[in-house]
Amino acid sequence: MSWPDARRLRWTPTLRVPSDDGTEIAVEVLGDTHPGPTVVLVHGWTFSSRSYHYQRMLAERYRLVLMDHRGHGESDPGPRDNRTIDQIGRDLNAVLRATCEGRDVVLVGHSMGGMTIMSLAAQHPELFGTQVKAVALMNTSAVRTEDDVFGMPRLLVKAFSKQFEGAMALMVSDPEAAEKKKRAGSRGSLFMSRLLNFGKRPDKRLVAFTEAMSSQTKAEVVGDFSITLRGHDKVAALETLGNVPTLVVAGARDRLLPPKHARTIAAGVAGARLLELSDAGHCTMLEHPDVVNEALLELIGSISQPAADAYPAAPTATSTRSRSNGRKTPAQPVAP
Amino acid sequence: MIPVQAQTVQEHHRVAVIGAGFGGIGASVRLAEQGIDHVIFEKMDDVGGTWWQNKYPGCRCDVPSNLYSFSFALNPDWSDTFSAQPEIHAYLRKVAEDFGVIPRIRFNTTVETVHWDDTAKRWVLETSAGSCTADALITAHGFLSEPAYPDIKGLDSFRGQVMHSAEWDPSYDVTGKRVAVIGTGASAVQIVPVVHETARNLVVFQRTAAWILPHRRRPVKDWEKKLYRRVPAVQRALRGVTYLASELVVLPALLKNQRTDLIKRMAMRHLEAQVPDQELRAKLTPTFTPGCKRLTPTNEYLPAIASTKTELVTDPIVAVGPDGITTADGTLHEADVIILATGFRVTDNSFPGVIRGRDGRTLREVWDSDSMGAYNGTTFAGFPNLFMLAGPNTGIGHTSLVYMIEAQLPYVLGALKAMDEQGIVSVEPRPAVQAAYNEMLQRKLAPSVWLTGGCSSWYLDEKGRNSTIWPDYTFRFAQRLRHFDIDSYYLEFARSQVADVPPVPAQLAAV
Repeated sequence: MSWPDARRLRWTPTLRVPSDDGTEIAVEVLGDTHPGPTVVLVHGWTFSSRSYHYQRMLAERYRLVLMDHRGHGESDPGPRDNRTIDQIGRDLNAVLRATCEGRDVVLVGHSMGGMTIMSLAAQHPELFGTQVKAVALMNTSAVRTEDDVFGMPRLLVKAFSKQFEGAMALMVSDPEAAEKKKRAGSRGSLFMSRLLNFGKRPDKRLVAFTEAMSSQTKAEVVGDFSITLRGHDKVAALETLGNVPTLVVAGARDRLLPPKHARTIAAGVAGARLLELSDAGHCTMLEHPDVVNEALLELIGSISQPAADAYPAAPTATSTRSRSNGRKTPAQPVAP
Repeated sequence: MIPVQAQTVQEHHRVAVIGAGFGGIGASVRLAEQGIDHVIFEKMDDVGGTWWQNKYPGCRCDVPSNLYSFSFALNPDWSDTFSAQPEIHAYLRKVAEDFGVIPRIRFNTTVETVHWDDTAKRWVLETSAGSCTADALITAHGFLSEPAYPDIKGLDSFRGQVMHSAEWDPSYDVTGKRVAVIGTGASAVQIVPVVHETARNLVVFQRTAAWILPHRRRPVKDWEKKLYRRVPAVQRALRGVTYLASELVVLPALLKNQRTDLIKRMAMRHLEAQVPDQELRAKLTPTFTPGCKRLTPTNEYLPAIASTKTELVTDPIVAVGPDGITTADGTLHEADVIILATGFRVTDNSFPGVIRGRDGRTLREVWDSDSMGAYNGTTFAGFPNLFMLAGPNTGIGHTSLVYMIEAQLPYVLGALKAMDEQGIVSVEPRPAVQAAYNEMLQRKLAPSVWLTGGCSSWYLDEKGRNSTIWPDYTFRFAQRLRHFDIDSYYLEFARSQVADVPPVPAQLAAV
């Protein structure tokens, strides 16, 4: 497993899918020849589909679709007013229509990507249980709460929040100034990325990677999305997710969305299972790729058999089998 | 899915414990400490488990008593350094009484079936005294709890008495009787010397000879008891020394197959001193590496075998007739009583066959399709909130199983505590974690004497895997299970109306 490379974030999309407002969404399809379900990976705020560096290896067994949110990665920025969670839910729907017609889908979302999935569930509940067969939500939240403290002592929180809010406000009101103030790759920027994204002792290369990814996202986009995130409430959509097997992943040291958010989701979604990683922060899929991939394989395995001609089965193949019929939710093996 | 029970008010407990032996009593004491509501089901009429079931003459523990007892209830009154069954049973009875365990036990209650109700997220137990539900299940059914009967033709046709060592009839007197003993394992070496004293004659049927070591057993002197009572630290220190000695001396021999020649030499010297007859000695010399089967210390067995009253038969048994046992050479060995010292069903214990998990399969069915395996010897993928004490790969051949059981308890309690604190309704190990754990075990077991020693033993299951032994220092096991590793588990939460959470006018953007 190689480290993600902070210097190679640019990529050429396989497809550019126009969303309902005409904004083109960059999409990459991997393992296109695999039968069985397609795994759609939706990234988080300020990140890009590159944040799923370690999940790309799932393409050995499954067809993967990776998308960049509008304004992130290789996607078009789109109109400023349309940078909302509801809109990126519609973007996700457009990507599904363009790439997964007639196929089963497993949706995987990290942070704002998880909220995107909830947004899709709110807009198109009929998809869940029909086309969408399973959902994995990592380090995400169903509703904003007041008492997020960035895992810091109370005294610090106030000062830090003020700074943070100020930075966001500037990004919205004067994006160009904010862009100029941004010091990509600086020690301060790395420190912030380290603080907000990671738990216990992350590798420096991971920090450099997430910092580069976030710095690449335009200040204007970051600011605009911060507004929609503030008003996020998709609790009502959790009911819909109960129709499919749902995996919730949390990092116990997540400063941005502490595990109580994950517990709220797990309690709201019927039959949901929570995996809580005790030394992980906000980026479980980068911090513990082995554990997250195992759990994703188990989730996908619970709704389908792995492609017979796929890569020689790793040890997890035997264990996924024991779970394959274990869900009470509709879990019919899919004929390849 | 199994239909939900009729809507009568059903008995419900936080935890149901099955079995009231060392495991069940230990669990109950710890649960009560934490104020956790629980009930214990026991199929027999008294506490003690293995130590109540086995009442054959000479029954005794081959682990030093100072070690074979609870760490929280040392007993200064052991009359012998290696106690006999009645004393161990009395000890357990006393612990159960002192810690108030007895009122929580339902005696003479057999648990017939257990299944996981995935809607209510709880275990449903059907017992001989009605049904009951529990959030979590602790099984302490023991692995030396079910007698194993040999598959011998015509055993039913025998006119005399047939007794398994674990189902001994105390009213039966062997005085003046012709006695046949089948088996030469740990229980046989204890029965034979006692029966030999009063029987008219004795025939012992041996399939494989066992390594017999000299026994260091001696009565505990009065001053020692007094000292233990006045200064418990002395007994605790001795317990520590005994523990370390068996850990650091015996274990490497078994695990790495190192220096087994020393054990061999000790056993051979013992054999030469006790059995003068060359021919008999040859019969009694095992062919496998010592330790492959459980080492059996005794000073009385070999003289009893060497006695003129006793005959050692190594020809395989062909059949049992009304009058006695016929061996392959055609000889009929007449007997009035046949004692089956054939041990227990360990890897094929029937209890896992009654536990049905999330997908409706029993633990036995899961094991048959894979192999016997657990995570941390305690939990099982597909079986939420099930904790097995002395589960797969927690057995040992060199020290006290009570230590292993006590090592498991913090783990179980840690899980229950996490569930309480966070509102978790089920914990279940991730299959990948369980698979990796069992691979690690088998890798460690590969060079061990149990797999390379050239014998078949009750440590191995029908697939030839060692699914009973913990292949490392036991303190490593305790270390591993000191805290509940929530990372390795899938968690489920109580369904709640999350709409109660007030949507907040936020000051912070956070994602």
